[in-house]
Amino acid sequence: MLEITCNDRLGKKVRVKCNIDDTIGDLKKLISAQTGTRSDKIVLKKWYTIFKDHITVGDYEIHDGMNLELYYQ
Amino acid sequence: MGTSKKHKERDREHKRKHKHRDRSRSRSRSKERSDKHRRRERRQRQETAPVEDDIEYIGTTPAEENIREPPIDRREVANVGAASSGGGESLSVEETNRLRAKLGLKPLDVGGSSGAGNDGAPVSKDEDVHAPAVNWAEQKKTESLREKMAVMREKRLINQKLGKVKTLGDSDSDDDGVLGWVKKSRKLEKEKQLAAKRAKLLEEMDEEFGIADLVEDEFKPTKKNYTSKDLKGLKVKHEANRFKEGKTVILTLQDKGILDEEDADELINVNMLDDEVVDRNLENKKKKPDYKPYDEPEYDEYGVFKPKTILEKYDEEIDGKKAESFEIGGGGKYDGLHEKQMSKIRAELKKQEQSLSLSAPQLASEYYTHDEMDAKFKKVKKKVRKIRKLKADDLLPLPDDELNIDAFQTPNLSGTNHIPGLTLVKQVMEVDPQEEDDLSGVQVEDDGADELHSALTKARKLKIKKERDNRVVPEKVAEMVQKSTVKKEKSPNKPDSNIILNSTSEFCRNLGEIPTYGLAGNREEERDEIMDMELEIMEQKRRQEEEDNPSGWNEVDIDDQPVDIMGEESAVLEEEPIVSEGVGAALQLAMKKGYLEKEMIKPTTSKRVDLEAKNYSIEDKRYDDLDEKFRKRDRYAGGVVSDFKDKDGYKPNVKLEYVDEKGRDLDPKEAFRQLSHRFHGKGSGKKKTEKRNKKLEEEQLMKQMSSTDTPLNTLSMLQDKQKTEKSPFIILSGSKGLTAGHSIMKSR
Repeated sequence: MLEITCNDRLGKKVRVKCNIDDTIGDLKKLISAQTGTRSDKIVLKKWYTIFKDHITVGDYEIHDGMNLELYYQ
Repeated sequence: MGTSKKHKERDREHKRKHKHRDRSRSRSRSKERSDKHRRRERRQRQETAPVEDDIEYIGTTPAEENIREPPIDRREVANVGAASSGGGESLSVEETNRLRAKLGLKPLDVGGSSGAGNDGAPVSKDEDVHAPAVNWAEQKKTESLREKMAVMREKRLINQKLGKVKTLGDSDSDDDGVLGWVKKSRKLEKEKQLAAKRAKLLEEMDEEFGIADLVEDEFKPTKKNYTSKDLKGLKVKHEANRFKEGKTVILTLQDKGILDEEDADELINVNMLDDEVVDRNLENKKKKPDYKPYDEPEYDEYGVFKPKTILEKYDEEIDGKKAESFEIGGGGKYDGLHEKQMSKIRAELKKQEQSLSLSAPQLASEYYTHDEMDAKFKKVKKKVRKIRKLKADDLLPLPDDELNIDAFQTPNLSGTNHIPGLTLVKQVMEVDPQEEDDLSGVQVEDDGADELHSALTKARKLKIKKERDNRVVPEKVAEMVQKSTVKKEKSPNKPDSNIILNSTSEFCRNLGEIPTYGLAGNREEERDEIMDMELEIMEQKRRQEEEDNPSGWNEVDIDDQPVDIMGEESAVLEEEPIVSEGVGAALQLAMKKGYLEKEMIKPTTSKRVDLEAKNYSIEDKRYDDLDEKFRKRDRYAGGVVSDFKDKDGYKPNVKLEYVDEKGRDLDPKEAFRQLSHRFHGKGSGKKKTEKRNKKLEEEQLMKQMSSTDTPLNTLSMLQDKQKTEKSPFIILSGSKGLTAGHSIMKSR
């Protein structure tokens, strides 16, 4: 289990717990459950890489306590 | 962050209140409370919540929470984790698990320790697990072993499968050896015998019932003799002339597809087909390229014009080759008569035809052809000639040319003096009779009367001619000799008064006018003449001496004549003519000094005047603008129109001469300078004038000086000096000519 912090810099900042083998899509669902935005409108980014839904968190080497950028499309 | 959070929470609370009111009024109150309470609880649990002041918190049971959850509302869920630690909202593990269950995800794996996951979870740093490195070699070994095993297994399986199938060899080996074979063959024999028996039985039965004939009829093939009559109408696919008489050729039906619609059968012979192919190939080889530069019309073998089709050379390829064939007539015969007739007609036509085309133009070759060569050098057949000797007697008897040889052998010269020149002529005369004899002795070839005759006449003519010549020559010679004797008598050394021609004078005349010759006036013909005479005499003497003593020694005469120095000197430096002698002398001097120029008398212009066009002007050359010309003429003609008749032949010879203040003639350049100076009111500068004056002075001096001396009269001075010293030389350098060894001699 790991906890990721997602921050759109507009006032929403959530910490989400997830498994390492969760896909980004799952993560997005979790985030949407916490923030109230629809999951398909969420874009997760780290610098310029947009994380794709079907790839797991572990494959992106997202570790515990990492900060992801939260955008909306 | 504190205040803003509070506001948010309040907002949310407010909204939720409304919602819950909709759902159940009865519980609304308690819910509110529970809500508040729960939140408070959470906050307390997370130990992050700031101390609230104005909101009451009422404790609620977790059971209530559960009841409320089922319809997942994001908002609710979101609110659950509001105001988490670290600034972000966060759910607890249980809450997240619940949420995940709803989303259809597996629960969070929280391993024994809180941080470390069971397998995939990131290993916490404090717990290092040693994972032994994989031994590659071992891995490979096991892999290879596994592969081997798999292969073996497969082999076994295949073998099992194939073990059931009998191979060819196996089957034979099945019924073993000779015994089996014998048995088999016996069995077969038995079967055969049985079959024969059965057949016999059947036959017997047939006969018994009397249907044997019927059956025979039924099964007998209906045999018809295929005769030559049946061949009628069959096509033979070869040309008729391919078959030779008295030779049998086996023809077969041509192969054809079963479904081919063409019903007519065709007969072919395979060998003939091959021959045809060969022939066609040969034809193709022989064929020249289809190039007809002039597009000449073509005629077929009958001489009939062949109509032209487009690209006919491809017709054969497109339509296939036209097969020649003939049909076999009734009785299986073919009559070639028609064919023969046709060929006969063809031949006749061919004979009749005449070509209108001219022979093709040919380049003329530079060399002779063989025929031409032969034509050129045709050898004339040598006729065999009989040789007969012709005697002198045969020649003489003709009456026309009686010639007395004796008469000219003793010419009429006896009266004349004996002259040495004549001997030669006599000799010639002596030779002639011999020649005559020779001529008579010539073997004249004879091969026919004509030839003989012509030869004879020729010989005769020749002879006569010679005789005539001989007769004439002596007289001529005599005359010439006489003349020469007369001359010789005259020539001996007699001083002739009239003309004397000697080599020197001739030579001089040939040389033309030598400018210096005779100018000095000391060249006297007489003296020269005498000198020449002396020279001649000496020459004669020498020649005589040479003849006298044939030895190579020559005597040299010492010329004791004194050299006349003065004469030669005067030839180089002539005296200046003395002016005082007269006008002529003065003029001569002037000429010599170059004051007067010897002018070639030019034909004056006045002589040509009458040849020139009267009314010629440059204008006349132009004909293109006559109008212009006449306009101009009109302009000029405004004045005097009529000619000036009083002075008709008057042609003034105008010559402009300019003279400077000293009376010197000026050339055009100088004249212009003078004019220009006068016009501008200023002359040339001081230096220039000086220079010009100097030049003029020099010129003057040049004119005044003696033509034979330097301006300073050095020459005359030198001559004076010579006279005083009485020596033929002057010493130019050294101290007063005392040291002769050092001096440079100037020989005169």
